[in-house]
Amino acid sequence: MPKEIYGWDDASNNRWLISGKGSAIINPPSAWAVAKRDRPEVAAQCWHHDVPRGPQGRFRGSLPFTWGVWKFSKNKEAAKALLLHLSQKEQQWKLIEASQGYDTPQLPAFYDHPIWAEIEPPKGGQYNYMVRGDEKLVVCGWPAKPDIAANIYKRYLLPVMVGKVTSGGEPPKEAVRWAVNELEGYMRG
Amino acid sequence: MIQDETQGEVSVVTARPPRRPEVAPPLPRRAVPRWLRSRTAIAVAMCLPLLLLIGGLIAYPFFYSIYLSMLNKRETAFVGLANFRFLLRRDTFWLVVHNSFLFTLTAVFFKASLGFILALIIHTLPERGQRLWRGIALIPWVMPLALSTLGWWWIFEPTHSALNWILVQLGISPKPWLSEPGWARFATILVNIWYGTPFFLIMYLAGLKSISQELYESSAIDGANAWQRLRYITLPMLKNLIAITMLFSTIVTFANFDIVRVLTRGGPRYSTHLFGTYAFNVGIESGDVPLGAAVALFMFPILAISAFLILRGIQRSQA
Repeated sequence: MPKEIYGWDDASNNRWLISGKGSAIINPPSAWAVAKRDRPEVAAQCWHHDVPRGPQGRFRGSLPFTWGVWKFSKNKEAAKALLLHLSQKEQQWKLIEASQGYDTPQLPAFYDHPIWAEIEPPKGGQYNYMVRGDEKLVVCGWPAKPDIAANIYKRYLLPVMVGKVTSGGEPPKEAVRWAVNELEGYMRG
Repeated sequence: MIQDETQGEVSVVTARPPRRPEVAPPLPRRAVPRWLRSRTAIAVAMCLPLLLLIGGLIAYPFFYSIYLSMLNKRETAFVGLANFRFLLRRDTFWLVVHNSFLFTLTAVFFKASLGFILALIIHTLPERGQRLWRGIALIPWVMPLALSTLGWWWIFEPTHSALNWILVQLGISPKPWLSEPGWARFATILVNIWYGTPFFLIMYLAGLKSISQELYESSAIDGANAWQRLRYITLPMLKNLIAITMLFSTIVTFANFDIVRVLTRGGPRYSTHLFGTYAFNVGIESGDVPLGAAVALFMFPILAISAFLILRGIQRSQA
């Protein structure tokens, strides 16, 4: 892993892959999509596969987006009807096509869209972007409650804790003590 | 000939009477309300828009943030100073305090020093050359900071840094500008110095121009060298200006947000977070508005005390 990752932003891994410097990233296919646009020869060599298995199994990071209707909404019934309409297979498939398979449906029943098998280059390279094996989707901060998990995510608790050891040279126990101190802050009432 | 009492000089009265200035006929007294006839009322009326702006955009948010900082996380109960006490027990908060002081003291020192040196150099140039250099030197200051910092981000970019490319061409090893805490702090301070030096330059240049040349001429007759002229004439004459500019710059630098936000977002490992960026991260991005307000309010006593000390020093030197 290159040392510069400690200064990366959201798009740095895309640039790293496309530049030819990097060969493997853990990411949705945005890097592949950018490569397809800017460096097709790099895109043709990309292949999506499952994350490695750890002692507890395979866990893939997920960033789910949800739809909802405000309590104070003036027309809740119409809003719910719209969300129900947008959640139907026909509409969901249009959204999948519009994003070239990048935005995935939460329901496995919609995974049979052909785009992940057909989109290229290379043909079939994005097939495993949909969870088809024994991977489990996890949200950063899980199984903490949503408000605490949101803090773990937005305040980079896990990357900073790991970085303290791998880049800062701190003993793992010291890094964990720091993370516990931070977590106490997130859990205050 | 008559004596002009106001000027104390003698003037000649010519045969032709002076032309009366053409003035508009006064408004009928009924048209002006009685309360507007006093100078105080007019002064208040003219200052009112400014007072409303200050009240709405500074005073109200300030007092509201004090109120917010005394609520619990869910903003449902009054907790007094508990948020402030809570912050004092957090390692990350003390790291932010350390970062803020290091950032401010280093940046203000170098901005003031460089601004002073550049002002001295430009002051020695002929007037025509001065205009050109003054204009060039002001460019960093007049550019939108978020935009220019984005340019700096490309220069320091972790993987494809333009500066590193130049260093490699010169046979020097590339540096982790934004991915190692020491270099990241250096980068943020450097950009702040680049941005803030023109402010000092212009202020000091104006101060240098206001010093009477006679002082320098008489000191030259007495045999003073350049260092002595700087030490005993220039610096004492600019003392108050230096104090005021340092105060202004300290306040602005301490509360900096844009540079860190664009360049590092507080990383790596929170090593470049300042009060402003950390308050935003805690209060807005993480949804703990009361704690974020408490972080931001920690700046207030620090800046208030430094402003008090500097302004008292100026007042004493004038007395």
